[in-house]
Amino acid sequence: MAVVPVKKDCHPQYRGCCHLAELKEKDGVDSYETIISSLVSCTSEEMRKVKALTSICSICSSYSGRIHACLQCIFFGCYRKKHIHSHFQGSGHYLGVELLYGNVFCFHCDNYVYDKQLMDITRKHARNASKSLGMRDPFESWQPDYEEMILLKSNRKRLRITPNSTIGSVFYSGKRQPLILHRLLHLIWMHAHHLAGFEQHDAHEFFISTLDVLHRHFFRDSGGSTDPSNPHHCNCIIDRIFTGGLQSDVVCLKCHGVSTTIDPFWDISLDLYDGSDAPPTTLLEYYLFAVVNHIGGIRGGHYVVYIRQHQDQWFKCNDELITCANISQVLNTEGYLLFYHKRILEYE
Amino acid sequence: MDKTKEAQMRATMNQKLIETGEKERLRELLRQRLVEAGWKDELKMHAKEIVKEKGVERITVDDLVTELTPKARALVPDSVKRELLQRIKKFLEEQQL
Repeated sequence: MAVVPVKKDCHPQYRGCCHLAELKEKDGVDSYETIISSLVSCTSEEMRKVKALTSICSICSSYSGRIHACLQCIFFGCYRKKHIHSHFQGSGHYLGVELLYGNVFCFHCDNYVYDKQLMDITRKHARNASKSLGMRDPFESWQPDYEEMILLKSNRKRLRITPNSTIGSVFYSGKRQPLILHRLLHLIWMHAHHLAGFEQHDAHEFFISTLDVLHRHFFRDSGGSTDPSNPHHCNCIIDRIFTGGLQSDVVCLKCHGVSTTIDPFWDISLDLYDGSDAPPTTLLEYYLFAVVNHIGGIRGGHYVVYIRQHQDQWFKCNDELITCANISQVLNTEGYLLFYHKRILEYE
Repeated sequence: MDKTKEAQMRATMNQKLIETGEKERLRELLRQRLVEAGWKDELKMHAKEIVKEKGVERITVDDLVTELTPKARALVPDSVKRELLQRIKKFLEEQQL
């Protein structure tokens, strides 16, 4: 006899799904962990073979209609044609695990439900699965890997690029107070003496010096140039991110032979706009993502920067004061330094 | 190719993709490309709007999926589709399917 399901709502004050909590209390999380480790995040080819053969709807044999496995018995049903729903209706079961990400669906709540303990299990196994396929950890924030650790440690002068004082870790430390990069500033001062002190300096000069210090640091530690045909070529992270190639062709007037050289550059100086140039054609698309502006005169002043986040939201950063801005405000500023990034990273 | 044969072929392909772990790799690649293209941010904004409109207490994942899917599909850049297609073709050649 089919069990007529009675739809029960969770108590309105209850946070999360009470049906899942009840089942967890009764049966624990072992069956969930088994489903995750053998059908969602496998760590060996044998297990993946089983996964490929079993993740199929018991009713319509579909494998792409969001297959769910019943958490309370062995049954697989698709969501698209509601075969998992009809299983719940017939059996009185009510919890299903979606087999792509391991999300839990509750038939009583008629929705996916969240549970911290189960999510931790999912993540643990997803990590192991990625690792077994030689892929990077899908959930981890940046941690220096072995090579990066060596780079960081082999900084002979111990000038403060150490793992627990990198900009990244300070930035993500969770503290909500203005970020003061005094270590970075100190590092620059030690290497570019002319910038040390409390006089006013030029933002562009500072930027180039910063890149130069970091470049020298990484260049030395990465063993220098690896390309003998091009002594300027460097594979350090700074060069890979910031360096472009400027190609100049010299044509012989007599034989029309062309000699080509490619010089590396970090920045391009723009002419003052006189309204006559046609816009240059580009092969790649770039996004404007930061504009540094100078306020004041030639002897002294103040820098303010506009930064773009989340696609099209601009923020104005004026020392520790950060406010929302819109694109027209940004475009109406004078603009001293413009930062762009590539729309699409290079395909391999 | 007739219909049953095509369905069979698809099923075999799906199995191979899962067995070898290639499916996971493709998923990761796709995820990365969609983040790069701003697809994720755009969809997130859209989803937020829908949730706001319907009320966070009443909305279900189904509602979101129904509303977002057509838009989400349309927004996937052609270059990303092409790259994925290339990868899948290459994989099938290697597997000699």
